[in-house]
Amino acid sequence: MFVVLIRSLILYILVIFAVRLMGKRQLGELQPSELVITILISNIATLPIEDVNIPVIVGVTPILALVCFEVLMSGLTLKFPKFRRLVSGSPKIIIHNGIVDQKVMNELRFSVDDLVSAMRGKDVFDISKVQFAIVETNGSFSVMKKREDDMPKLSDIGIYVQNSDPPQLIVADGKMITPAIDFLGSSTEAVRKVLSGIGVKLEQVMIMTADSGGKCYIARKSGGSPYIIEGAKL
Amino acid sequence: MTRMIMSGCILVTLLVMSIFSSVTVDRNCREIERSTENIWELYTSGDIQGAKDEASGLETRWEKIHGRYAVLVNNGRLNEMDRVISRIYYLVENDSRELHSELTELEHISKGLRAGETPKLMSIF
Repeated sequence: MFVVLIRSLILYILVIFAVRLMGKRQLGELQPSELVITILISNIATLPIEDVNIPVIVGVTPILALVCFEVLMSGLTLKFPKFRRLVSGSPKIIIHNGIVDQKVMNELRFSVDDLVSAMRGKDVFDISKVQFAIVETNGSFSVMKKREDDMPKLSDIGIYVQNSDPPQLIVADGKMITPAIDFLGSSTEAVRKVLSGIGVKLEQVMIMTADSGGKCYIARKSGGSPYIIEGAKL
Repeated sequence: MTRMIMSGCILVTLLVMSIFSSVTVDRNCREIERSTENIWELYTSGDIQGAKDEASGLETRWEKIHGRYAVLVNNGRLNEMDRVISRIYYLVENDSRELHSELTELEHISKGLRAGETPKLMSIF
């Protein structure tokens, strides 16, 4: 049983490494080849755990090989668009100019129920409001509503605001996150100065976020109302 | 790019390891098969002591490589080989009629092991 436990740990670490090696694409929605790899890896990883007669290398080798093939393949699809179309297919326009393309629906084996269900998944309950819809290569659905049925934007009503990046988490659980601070073009000393300005020590901070405009949000570990500082010098 | 380089390096490492494993298993299995033939030849020619020495040598060699094989190959087959090899010396010593069948079985297991590790068309499919 101890052997099974150690093997489980080894295979667990290996699968984590394999998923990390495949990169963030894997953690989002899956392409067909990525789905195949995920299923295969999960099945192969159980073999050496269940049967101690099977050497661990017999599980490690196919997992690593499959992951490496997948990474190299994704590199090739990046460089060669034709190869990408061969492996992943191409997105299909299913609604164009408000008209449902039945030929594409037949090609995709998409029933009317599938179409309406996919619409509901995008919070569209009235098909007449859809201008354009695409079925992506990973099977997901992208919808663009007609202008008159879409939410108005600030620019539509003549309001123009400055764009800015979202706030960054710069302190978590009393520790500074240096890459985020560098991203804002600030320094750890500046962050400490802001905190000392409100009489809070770094160790007392649970969450601190800041944006490029100097707006800071600080929540303490002891609880209580958070501090919101505008125009901090970071 | 880093991931692609890492993947390439891992694949090359796996390839080298596979080639090493295949060559090692092939070589050792051929030695085992040669030993079984020698044992039978010596036994049938009446050289019982020679056959016993050869059997003892086979057992010693097997004990050396068994541990290494356990990392590369399914233990089921190795256990079968272990069982057969451990009996051969005593079958020769006792002039047993089972000797030939055990030697044949050992040869078959060895050939099967070799075929499983050698990337030929039939073994892949």
